Amino acid sequence: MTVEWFDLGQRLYAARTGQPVARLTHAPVVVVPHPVAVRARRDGDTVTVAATAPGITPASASGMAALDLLGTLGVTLTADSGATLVTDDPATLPLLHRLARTAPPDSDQDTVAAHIAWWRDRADFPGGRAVVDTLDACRARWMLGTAPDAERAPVTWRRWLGLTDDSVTGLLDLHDLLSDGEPLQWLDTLVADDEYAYGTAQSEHSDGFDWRRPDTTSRAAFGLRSRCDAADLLTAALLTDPLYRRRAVHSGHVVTGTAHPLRDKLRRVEVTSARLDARLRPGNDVTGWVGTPGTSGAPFSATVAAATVRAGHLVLTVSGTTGVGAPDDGATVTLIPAPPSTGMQGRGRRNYRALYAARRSWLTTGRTPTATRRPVPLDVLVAGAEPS
Amino acid sequence: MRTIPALTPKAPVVATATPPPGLTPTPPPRPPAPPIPDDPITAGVLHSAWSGDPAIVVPSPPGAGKTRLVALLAASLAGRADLRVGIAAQTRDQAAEIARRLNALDCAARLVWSAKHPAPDLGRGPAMIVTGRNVRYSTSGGGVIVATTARWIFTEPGALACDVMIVDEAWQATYADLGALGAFAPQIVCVGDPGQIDPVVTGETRRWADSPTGPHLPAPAALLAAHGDAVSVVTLRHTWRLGPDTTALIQPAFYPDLPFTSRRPPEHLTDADGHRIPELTARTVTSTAGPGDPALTSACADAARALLAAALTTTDGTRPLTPADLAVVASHVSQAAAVRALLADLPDVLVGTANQLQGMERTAAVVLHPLAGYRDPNAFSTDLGRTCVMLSRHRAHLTVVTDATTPAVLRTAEPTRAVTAHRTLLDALLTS
Repeated sequence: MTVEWFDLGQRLYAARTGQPVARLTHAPVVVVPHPVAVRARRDGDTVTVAATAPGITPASASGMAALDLLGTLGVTLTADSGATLVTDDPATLPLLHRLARTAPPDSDQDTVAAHIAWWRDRADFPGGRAVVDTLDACRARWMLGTAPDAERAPVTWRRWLGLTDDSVTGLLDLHDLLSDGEPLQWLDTLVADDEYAYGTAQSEHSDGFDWRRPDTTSRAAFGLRSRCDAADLLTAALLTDPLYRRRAVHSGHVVTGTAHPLRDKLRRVEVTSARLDARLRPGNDVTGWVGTPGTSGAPFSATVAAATVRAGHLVLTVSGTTGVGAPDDGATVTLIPAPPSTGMQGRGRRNYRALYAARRSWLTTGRTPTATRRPVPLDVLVAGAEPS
Repeated sequence: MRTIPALTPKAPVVATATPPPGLTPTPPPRPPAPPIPDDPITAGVLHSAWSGDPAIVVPSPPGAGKTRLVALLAASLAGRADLRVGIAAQTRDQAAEIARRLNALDCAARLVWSAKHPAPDLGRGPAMIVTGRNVRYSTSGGGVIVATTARWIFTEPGALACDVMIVDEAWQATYADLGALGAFAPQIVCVGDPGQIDPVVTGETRRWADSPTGPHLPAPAALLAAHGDAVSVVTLRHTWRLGPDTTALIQPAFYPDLPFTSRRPPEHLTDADGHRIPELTARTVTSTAGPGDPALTSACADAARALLAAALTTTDGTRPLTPADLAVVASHVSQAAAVRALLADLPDVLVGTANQLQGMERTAAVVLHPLAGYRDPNAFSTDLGRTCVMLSRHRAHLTVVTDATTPAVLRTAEPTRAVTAHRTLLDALLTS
C-alpha cells in the first residue's frame, strides 16, 4: 500500500462515520498559560484586529489601537511570560508584523510591536508555544472525510469538530481541543526553547536592539541552525507516536520486519521486511523494539550496516545492537531513525555560536575582506596569470 | 566580482623563486611537491589562492574535474607554499574520495573519520585517517586536513586554524555553514556545480525569503551577493563526462550563465546488430497509478537490462557493457527501492535517487523522468537542480523513461521558469 492509499482509506472511513479520524495518539499542541486568539484582516492600508483571551470579551480595533488592544491582552514584552498567538488564518501574523513595523520606537506600542516580532520569529519553530496555527495542528491531529482542499478552511474543522462559535473565542475552544491529552514527546523541549527565546527578546529589547533591522550574518546563521534543530526534533517526536508510525510504514520512514540475530561480535541483526521502500540507509542510526509500529517496547539502538534485497524482500542488517530490547530470532521488530540528541543539538548550536563569535574571519563578521598578499613563485605566476 | 580571464596554456615552468619572507627558510623534509598543474584553469586558481585572494569561487559544469582541481590545489598549496589547507566536503564519501586523490598525488593528507563508520580504503600512499587527538596539523610546514563540513563545525577553530579552506561541492553547502567554516581560515575557495541540488535545509526559511544573502542559500551564490567585489571567479568551461548531445541539452536549460562545451573523448554504445545507439533516447510509458506506478519502475529495469546487450566503443576499443557501467536514477526513494528490487540479480548496477547519486558517474544511465506519474507538477517534481543531476550522470548514453501524460501535464501547468524549462527539455528528449 502507498501512503496515498492509506490516507484515502482514512478519509473514506471518516466520511462513512462522519467523525474525524485520529492521525496522532498524542496532542500536537501543549496547554499554554496565556493564549491570545487573533484574526487580522487588511482593508487598504488599514489593518484591523479581532482578539480575545480566556475570560475576556472579544474586541476589535484598527491601526495603533489594535496594538493597544493586544497590549491589554498581555501581548507585550514587559509581561513575565510570552503570550501564545492562536490563529486560524495564515495571513494574520504577516499583517500583525506589518502593523508592528508602524509602531514608533520608544512609543507605548513599542513593547507590543516587539512581542509581535518575537511571534514572527518563533512561528518558524514548529511544536513550540509561541504561535499555534490551528489549521496546521488540526491537519496533524485528524483526518476529515472531505476533499483535502476543504481542510484548508477553518469552517470545515469547526463543523466536523462540533464547534459553533466562529468568533475568536471559538479559536480558544479549538485550541483546547487540540491540546487535550498527553503531548507528543519533546514538545516540552521545544516549548522551553520558546521560553528561553522570550527571555532573550526581553533582554535585547531593553538593550535597545532594533528588531526592524535585517538579521546580521551571524544572527541569520544561528537562526537557521536553531530552526533546523527544532524541525528535526519535531520530526523525531512524530515518530514516537504509535498512530503516526502506522502511517509512516507506508512512506518508508518506519520499517517493520522479522529479526534474525547473527550472534557475532558486531552484534548484528538482520531485519527482513516485505516493503522495499525503506528510507533507512547504511550509516543511519536507528532505534528499534520488539513489536509492531503501533506498539512500544524496550528499545535497542543500532546502526544500519547494509541494505540488500533478497528474494523480493528488503534485508536491513543492523550492527552494534545495544539496549535491553535486543530481539530474538523470529521476533517482529520495528525500526525508526534514531532521534537527534538534544544534547548534541545544543552542543552544535554552541559551537556554531562560538565559530561566529570568533571574530577572526570576515565571513563571520560580514565585513568585506581585503586581501593579504603573499609572494608567488615565478612559475606559478606565469602558469596562472597569463591572459589569453 | 572579479572574473579571472580565460588563460592560455601555461608558459614553460620557471624555477621557484626564493621562499617568501615569513615562511620557514629551511623547511623540514617532506614529500616532493606536486608539479604546477598542467591546465591553465587549475593554475589560475592556484595562483589566485597562493597570492592571497580572500575568496575564490569556481563554478563548474558536471564532469569538469572538480575533485581533481580540489586535490591538485590543496596538494600544491600545502606542498609548495607550506600552507595549512582545510578541505570541507559535504558527505563522508566525498571526503574519502578527495583523500584518495590526495594520496595518489603523494600528499600526506589527513582524513578526519569517525570510528563509528568503516574506514575507507585510501590506497597506498602517505595519506592517513585520523581521529581524536590526531586531528591536527603537523607542527611545521604545510598540511591538508579533509573532513566533512559537519565535522569541521564541531571542531575548535583555534586547534585547526588553517590558511585556506577549500569547500568542495560548495553549492550543496549553506551560506550559514560557509560562515562557520570562515572561522578556520582567512581564505575561502568554493568549488562546485551551480546547476545541481540546493543544500538540504530542514528548518523554515521564510524569514530570509527575499534576501540574496539568506543563510539557507547555496554558499557561493550568497557569497557573491554579499561580497561580490572581493570574490575572484574562475570558471571551468569544459565537461569531460558529457557528450555533445547531452551538453547541448542541459547547458542552456540549467547553466544559462555558465557556457561550457564537451571535451569528452569519443565514446558511444552500439546495439546487438552493431548499430550506433544515440546518446539520448526516450522511452514512453503509460502510467495510471502515480509516481509509484510499477509500470514506471519496470520500464526502468527493462531499459537497464536492454542496455546490457549493448557494446561500448571508446578510443581504446570495443567491449560489452557490464552492470557496473550502468546507473538507474529516480526521484523518489520508493522508486529507487523498487528498481533495485527488480534488478536484484544485477547488484553492480548503481541504483539510487538523484540526491544519492549526485557526483557519481557511469558509462550509461537510465533515468525515470521526475514528473512521471504526476498529474499536477509540484515543486519537488519540477526542481531543476534534481533534474540536472539526473540528466548528467552518464558519459556515453542516457535513456529517459517518460510518462505519456507528462507533456499534457506540462502544457496545462502554470508556466513558471521550472515548468518552461521542463517543457523545453521534454520536447528535446522526445524528438531526439
